[in-house]
Amino acid sequence: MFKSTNKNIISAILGFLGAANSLVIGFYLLSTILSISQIQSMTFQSAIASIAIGVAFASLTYGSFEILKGNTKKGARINMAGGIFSILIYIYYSEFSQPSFLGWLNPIGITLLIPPLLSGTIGLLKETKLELP
Amino acid sequence: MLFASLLFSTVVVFPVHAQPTTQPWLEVVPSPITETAPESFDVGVYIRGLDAEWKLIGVQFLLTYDPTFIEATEVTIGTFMGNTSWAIHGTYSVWRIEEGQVVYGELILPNETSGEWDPPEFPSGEGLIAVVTFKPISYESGASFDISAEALLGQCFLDANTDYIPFADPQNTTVTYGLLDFTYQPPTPFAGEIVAFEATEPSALIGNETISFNTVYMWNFGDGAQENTTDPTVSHIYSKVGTHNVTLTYYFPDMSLTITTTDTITIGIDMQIALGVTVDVGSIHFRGEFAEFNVLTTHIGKAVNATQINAVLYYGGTELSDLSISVQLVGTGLYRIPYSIPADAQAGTYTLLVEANYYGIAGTTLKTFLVSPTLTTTVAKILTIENGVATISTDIQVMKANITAINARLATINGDIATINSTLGTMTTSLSNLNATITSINGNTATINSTLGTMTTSLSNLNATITSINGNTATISTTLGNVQTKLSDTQTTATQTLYVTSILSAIAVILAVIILLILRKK
Repeated sequence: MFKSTNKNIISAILGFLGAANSLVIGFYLLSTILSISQIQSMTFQSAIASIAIGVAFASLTYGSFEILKGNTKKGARINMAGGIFSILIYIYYSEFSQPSFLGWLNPIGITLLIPPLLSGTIGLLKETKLELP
Repeated sequence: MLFASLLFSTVVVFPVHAQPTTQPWLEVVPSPITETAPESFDVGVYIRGLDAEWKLIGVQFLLTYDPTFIEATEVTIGTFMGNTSWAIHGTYSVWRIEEGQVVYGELILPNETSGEWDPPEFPSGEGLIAVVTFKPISYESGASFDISAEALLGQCFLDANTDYIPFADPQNTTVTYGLLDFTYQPPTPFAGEIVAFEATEPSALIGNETISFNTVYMWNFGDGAQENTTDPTVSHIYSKVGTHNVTLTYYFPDMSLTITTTDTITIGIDMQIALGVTVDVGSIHFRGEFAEFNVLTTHIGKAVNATQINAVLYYGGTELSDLSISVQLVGTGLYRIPYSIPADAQAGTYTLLVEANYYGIAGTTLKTFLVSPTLTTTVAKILTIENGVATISTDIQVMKANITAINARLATINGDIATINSTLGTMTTSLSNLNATITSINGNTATINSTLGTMTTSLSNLNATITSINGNTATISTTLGNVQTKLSDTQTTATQTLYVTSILSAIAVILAVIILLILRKK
């Protein structure tokens, strides 16, 4: 019998991984903004990046804990939302910001965004389909 | 044919009747007919002193000339033989033009019924027998030749008995071509003075009458100037002293013939008129500047090259430098004297004295200018820098200065404009004039290398904007162009972490999917 605990653990791990990824992205963005701030003022970009990364990290961490606590559906929805939010952050800093901060990382940078989305997807799967005979 | 054979018969029959005491004669005279073209002329053959008792009925003559110079083109019958007082039955005339001669004969016709000459009266007095038109075919200055009428067959006149009438010697005419030459006035002209040349008009004197020729006068004045005219007079001004060969070529278009004559003319100097010397030195110059002085020498209002020119620069009452060796001829009478003002030159008033000589005529002038240690203007701009020499534009003038001599150094940069300090003062210029390039960037500070040395400046002074970021490398657009710079070490760590994390995430996702699939199978 496949226990729901296994699914939750995998989902939570992927959620934590997504949170860590958002931290790494945030670290890079802030480091870059700090490096070029002497050349070009990036106060607005810095504030936006800090808030966005903070929100993404917090939501993914909270959602992963909820999954571990057994609130699988709730945690999965939060991780899904956090993953989508991370994608939006990534797209903005890759395609729309001036200068482009993450454009150089394409396409491998997409892999940073898959864990939270996968975490949410696994958490929202029906348990019957995951049960083993 | 009867009359022709009669006219040119070689049979001579002496008259048997009593002869008058005077004998007629032929005379060749210039034409009484108005000429229709200047290149052609007519001569008339007249009979003179004819007594009616001679009962003249025929005339024949041979007109000879020099075929080298002229050729007969046309024969016109005269009025004498056809006079209706004796030519009641008309006349018969015949002629032939050959090289160098014209043969002419004319016969009063007899009564057609009786075959006798029975006019109311026989020809008497004088009159025109024929007119011969000639065309010149060459012209030789001063040449002379005759046009002569002479007996063709021993006698010229035929009487009513078809006997020949004795004749007196003819009076011929002479054609003389004029000498081709030219004269000029004044005989000893000066440089700058108008010289009037007058060519002798080509002409031919025939008897007492003169004919002219269509002529083009082609002058070569010997100083490089040439002029073609149809007027025999022309004027020219010589600017160079010395002897010149003047060549005049007569061109006769109707004969396609040219005749050239040459003479020399010696141009002297009017010692009464001083040599004009004008000097332009500018009003102000600066230490380290490449100054340029200009000198113009003129004589009688025309620029002339001086035979000798000296230039000496004075300061404070003493000779500072002899610039004679630096004098360069730019154009006729125009000289350039370059002078590099030393970087340690004394400020104050300088005087340039120029003495020039032109074939013994002297001219002297002086000009003063100011040497200032610094630019007083606030709008001095360096336009270009080439080979260490800056062209500087001020609100007074454009000048050149050695950037080393004026100790030019880069002070500040703002956008594309560089401010330069020098011993002349502060100037501005475009960065492109300095060949400026960014050699390194450290934080917000850029190090710039230029023809005026190396300096550091804030990137904000170069209007720097970051155009792209690639990991830990940023591309910056500045007024000196795009430059790439490596960001901080922390940035390097962040870049590496992001890259590694991406790879780990990919691995983790793959593992998660594999585990789920394994669990699903179990």
